[in-house]
Amino acid sequence: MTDPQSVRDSLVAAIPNLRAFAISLTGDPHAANDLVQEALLKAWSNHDKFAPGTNLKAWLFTILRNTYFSDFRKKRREVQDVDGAAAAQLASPAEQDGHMDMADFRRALAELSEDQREALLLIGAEGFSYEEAAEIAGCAVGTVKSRVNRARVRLAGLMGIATVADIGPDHLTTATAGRAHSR
Amino acid sequence: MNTSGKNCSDKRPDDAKAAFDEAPIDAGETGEPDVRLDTTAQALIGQHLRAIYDEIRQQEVPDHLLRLLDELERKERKA
Repeated sequence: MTDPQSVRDSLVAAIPNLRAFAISLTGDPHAANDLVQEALLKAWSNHDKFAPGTNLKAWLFTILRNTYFSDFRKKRREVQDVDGAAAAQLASPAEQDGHMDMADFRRALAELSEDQREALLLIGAEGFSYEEAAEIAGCAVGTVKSRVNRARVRLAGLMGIATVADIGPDHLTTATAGRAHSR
Repeated sequence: MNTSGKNCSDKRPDDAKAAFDEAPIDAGETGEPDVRLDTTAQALIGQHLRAIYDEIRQQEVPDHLLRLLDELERKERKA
């Protein structure tokens, strides 16, 4: 990918997905746009290192998440309570749709650990395979599976959806996870 | 002017969606207690997740990001 035009076009085409991931991960649209901008700059200056024919989107996601986990998070922590801000911001942008359960879901998503939220977004929203997600997050496939699993159980608990505790083939017990909080 | 960014998303294959919404994760290999959600809860989480994500994905690409890439391209052509 050496033609600057094609590099530019490939990056432009990836922006909507990068933004969706960045905003959902950080819960802060402004920080997310900065994050996407920095990821694009890094991708541009390293595009000669990208191997043509491999997964460009996965490469870009890797750059973005590394930028976030290595630089951005630290910077933001100095100025604000990240978790509190993320929870507040995630709840704000699109509540016009009037779906109460959607607002609940945004808040619940913001309560997950960043590791869990990242894994959930890569697999459940972006549709990467577990192998791709593991590559992007720089961890083992089993770790991604475990994070997604825990994220889902936690979300179900926060949203008050029933979970099934699969203790063994003979005793399936249904436990309803109560709402952990109501705001 | 932002149309080039709109059709970005290579469509998620349906089987990937099904994998997330329906397939129980084999927690056994992670060495954790095997707690599973029923498929309805799992599908609901998947739907909410994609709704939030897709809503952002359909927004216009911010101008400053397009300008940035145009600028980088221009510089590289000159070099």
